[in-house]
Amino acid sequence: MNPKQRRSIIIYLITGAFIISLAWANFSYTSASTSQNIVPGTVNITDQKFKDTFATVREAEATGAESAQIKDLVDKLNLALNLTDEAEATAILDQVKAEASQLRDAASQASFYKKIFVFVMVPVAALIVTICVHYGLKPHYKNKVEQTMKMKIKEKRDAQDV
Amino acid sequence: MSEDKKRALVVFVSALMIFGMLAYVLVTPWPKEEFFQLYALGETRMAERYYPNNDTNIPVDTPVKWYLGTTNFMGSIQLAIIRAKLGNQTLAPPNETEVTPAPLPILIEFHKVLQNNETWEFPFIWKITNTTEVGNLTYLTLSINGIETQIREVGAEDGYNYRLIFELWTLDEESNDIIFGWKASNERRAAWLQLWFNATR
Repeated sequence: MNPKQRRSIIIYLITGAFIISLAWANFSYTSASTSQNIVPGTVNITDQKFKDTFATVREAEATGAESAQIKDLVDKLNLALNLTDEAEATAILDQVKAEASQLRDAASQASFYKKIFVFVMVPVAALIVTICVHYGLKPHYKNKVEQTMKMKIKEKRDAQDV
Repeated sequence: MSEDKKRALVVFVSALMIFGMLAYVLVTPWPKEEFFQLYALGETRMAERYYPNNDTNIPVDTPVKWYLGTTNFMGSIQLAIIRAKLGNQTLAPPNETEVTPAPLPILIEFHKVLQNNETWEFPFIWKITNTTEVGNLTYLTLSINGIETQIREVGAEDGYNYRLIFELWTLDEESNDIIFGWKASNERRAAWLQLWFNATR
């Protein structure tokens, strides 16, 4: 492997490490459009039960739950808001609250482990880069030393001596 | 310490600092501008043809179709509430500076839980079903999306210069109360719309 190839491998490794670390960033983006006529349901949005359920879903979202799971909970919340059967609406709110709590706990744990992993990866990535740079530059310095060792001492003679 | 070891140490410390900063940036949430968008469209679902024949004089029993929409750019799920109110030329509209709603009766309320970046659009079909004259003031009975409401609190001289006001309300996370507008970075903001019309026989 010549020094040029080694340099390319080092660049690929550094770029790879950068891309892997970027992949951990959660760039979630959802977009949806709805068109519906709202029929007033029995659930009052000022009810403490609705507010508590809504707050739990918000917490689950804030701790980093996946947007697809949040969408599912939001759909159920909207279903409960539009239901005219109070008992059914209350049952859905209870179910949403329970699911949101589970999701929040799971997301919180996952988020914690993600942070730990990211910070543990920092010295590992730094070590990889150091090893790559060390072995990547070794042939270059070896060549330099060899060049120096191969140098011959020549006597510089004046023009009049020749 | 040999030259090799010194160089490796410098590279390791530099890489540690760079990756450390990168890790911090990755796990720290970025502050984003938080806001709602509120809009009203005409019957063609565009910003045109708000009135039948483009005439703001609305006769009794003539249906008017609008589309109301709101988009959540708050970065989290939000409960969006759109309240429709009837006003006239003299009664105060909402105050955006003080963030106070219009002191007018609520005709109808629509609400939906929205995900971040979600747009909610729905038809708002209304018509004047009856007018009542008291002196020179005209009072209206409106049918909105099939729900009839008689408004005794708001009258207009000869039925001129009525306005339908749409306010956006949200459920505030901190106070756990329904508030006019929304809170973004501890600052209150509001969004509202108004569409004028005259009631004719």
